[in-house]
Amino acid sequence: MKRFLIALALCAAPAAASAQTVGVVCHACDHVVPYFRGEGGLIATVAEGVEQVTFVASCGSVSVTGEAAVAGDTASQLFSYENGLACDEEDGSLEIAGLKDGGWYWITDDRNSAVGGLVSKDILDNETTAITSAGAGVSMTPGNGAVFLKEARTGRVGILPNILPSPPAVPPRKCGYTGVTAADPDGTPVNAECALGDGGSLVVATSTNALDGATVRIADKGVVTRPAGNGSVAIVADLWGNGSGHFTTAATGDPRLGHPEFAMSATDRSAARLTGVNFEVRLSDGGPGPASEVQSGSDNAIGGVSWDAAVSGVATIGIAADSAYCSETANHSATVVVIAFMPTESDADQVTPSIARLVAATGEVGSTSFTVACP
Amino acid sequence: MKKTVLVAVLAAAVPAALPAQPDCPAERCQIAPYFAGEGGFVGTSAGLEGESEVQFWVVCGNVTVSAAATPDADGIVRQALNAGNGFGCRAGAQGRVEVDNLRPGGWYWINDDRNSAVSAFIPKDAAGNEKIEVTDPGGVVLSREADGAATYVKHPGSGRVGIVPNVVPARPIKDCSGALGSAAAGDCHLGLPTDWRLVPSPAAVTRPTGNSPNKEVVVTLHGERFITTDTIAASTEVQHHSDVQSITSSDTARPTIGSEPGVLVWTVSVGADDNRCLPANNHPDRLNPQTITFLLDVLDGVIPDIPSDGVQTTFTVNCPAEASASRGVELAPGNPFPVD
Repeated sequence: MKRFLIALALCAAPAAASAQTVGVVCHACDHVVPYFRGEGGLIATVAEGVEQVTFVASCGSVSVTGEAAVAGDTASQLFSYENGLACDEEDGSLEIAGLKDGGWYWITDDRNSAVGGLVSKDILDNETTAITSAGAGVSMTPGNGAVFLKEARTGRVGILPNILPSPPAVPPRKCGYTGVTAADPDGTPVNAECALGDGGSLVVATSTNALDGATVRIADKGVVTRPAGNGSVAIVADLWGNGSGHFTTAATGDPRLGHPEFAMSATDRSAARLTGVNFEVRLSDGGPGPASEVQSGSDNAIGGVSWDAAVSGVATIGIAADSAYCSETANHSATVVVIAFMPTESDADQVTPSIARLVAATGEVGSTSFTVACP
Repeated sequence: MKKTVLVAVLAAAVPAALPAQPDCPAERCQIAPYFAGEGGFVGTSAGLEGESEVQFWVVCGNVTVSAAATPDADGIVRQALNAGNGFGCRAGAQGRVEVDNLRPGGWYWINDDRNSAVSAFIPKDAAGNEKIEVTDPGGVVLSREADGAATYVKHPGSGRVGIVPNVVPARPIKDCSGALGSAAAGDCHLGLPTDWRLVPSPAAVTRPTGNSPNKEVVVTLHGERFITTDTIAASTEVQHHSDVQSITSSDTARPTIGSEPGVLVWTVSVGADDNRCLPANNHPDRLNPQTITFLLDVLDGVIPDIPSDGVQTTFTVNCPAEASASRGVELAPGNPFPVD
């Protein structure tokens, strides 16, 4: 464990130090030990993409920051007198950054131990529940999101959460549109008193059912069967919001813009898809040929996969037979990756919140993939 | 304890039968989301429908036991759940406890061989919320009912035990703020056009007289749960009756600074109107306040927009009271004995 000690010297500034809390604020911390006193330890699962789990332990006028031990996706940290992290003050706190929900901790008391869950910092402002007193024989010491119980006679101890789950509430409506009818195909934007999403987008790929002509969505990482003989499968891919809540700010003012439910509509799709989008189509390795980018144009097919960008904002992908992949002597599946780019930054503002460009330099916004399997 | 009803489904005899389910109404039922062995619970009677007794069900595997518990004079219910009173779970069985007519804030414990575990009751209709996974670091035993709302954690080496919830409180949706594209302006709750409001300070002002300096009314625009898409630009009007004199507004608003509340600030200048306010002029409406309306009719660069009819506020302008008005005008400063 690496750690750093920050001590406010009481003798140097006695008036200030005794009255103020420690000046170390952990903005990145996502979880707290809801009652922190004495010795113990914690166990938790590291959040995705996190490499270091850091903590700030504060006790009286001293704060200690450090890194928890991480093994695989599990983080652990003891707080003991030996490592200087145990706290004997009433207002101690331990905050941690980089954890998923589901972590827990323990406090070792003189005769027993208590175990409780780590608490998300996001819920600390939720309403607290008054814990029923069991009477004089059981002391209750409030923490931050939990109460520490101790039965004097037996020495039994417990950590009792006092911010409790509630029945599911009706979520606020998402920002978007309302009132799309035959008479008013555009409807009206919903841009007030609504949940605004995260600006995420998704590439929607569809094909057409050969029997009834219905539009069929190809799930991300789904499977498409390669046709035999002279047949072909046409796949349409375009870009949409991820459904977390957005509304149009495009000059056209079309409230349907980017709402993925219109991707399945033959009449609305062209007006509703996000614009300013380019595509790249790649064929992964694993088949008879190496991984490669498929250039647009019908003459540039690789492994029976071709595509064109004739319609703005759309990648139209064709899948045809290819004996190197599928024949009496070959049975290779091929994975097609469709990557969407919004190269012009201002195009991201056609909806609010703006479409999140994942790679600023290229304007990459999202991708989908599907596997072409032999019939 | 008043009555005990044992409901046992013999799994061997009726292998397809489901466990007997408690009849605890979801909307008023508190549950101990994991229970095994022996323990107890404490809570306060909710006194629903005039009843102080609480009904509880202990579910252990395929066996459900039900009884009523009577609170003490303070409404507190303390109920042991053990083999002696028939409410413990037999070895190897696990389940939950459900209690009807209990206030939120109740809690329970499980006695293990060396330690006890304590946790809170949760509302039964929250038990179906999305579940999180409790961290399994290895070397501990995690026990949980299928789709249960809590996990019993035991470290065999130390005998340490605990009940860790799988259902946690929902994170509140934060209010939107900040500029479009910033973290604060996404995954948030956007407000209403009617959240915009103008606040004058002061709400009533007394006109100066003669050459005294003008008075100022500061009008501040407040907004909540909004995002900015550009530099905020506004257009305003000051409206009043045609006989109102000497009211001027700053043409442009200034943005608020630092911790100053609000979004934009305008300054309205209120000058003298001696024709109306000097007592010597005997204006018939001298003592009647004049209402000034400050209207914000355009606000660009924000979402949500202001209402289509704008946002307005009013303040009143008054003439000075007679005595104070007289002092400045009728007594010449520096000359206590006017000769005219």
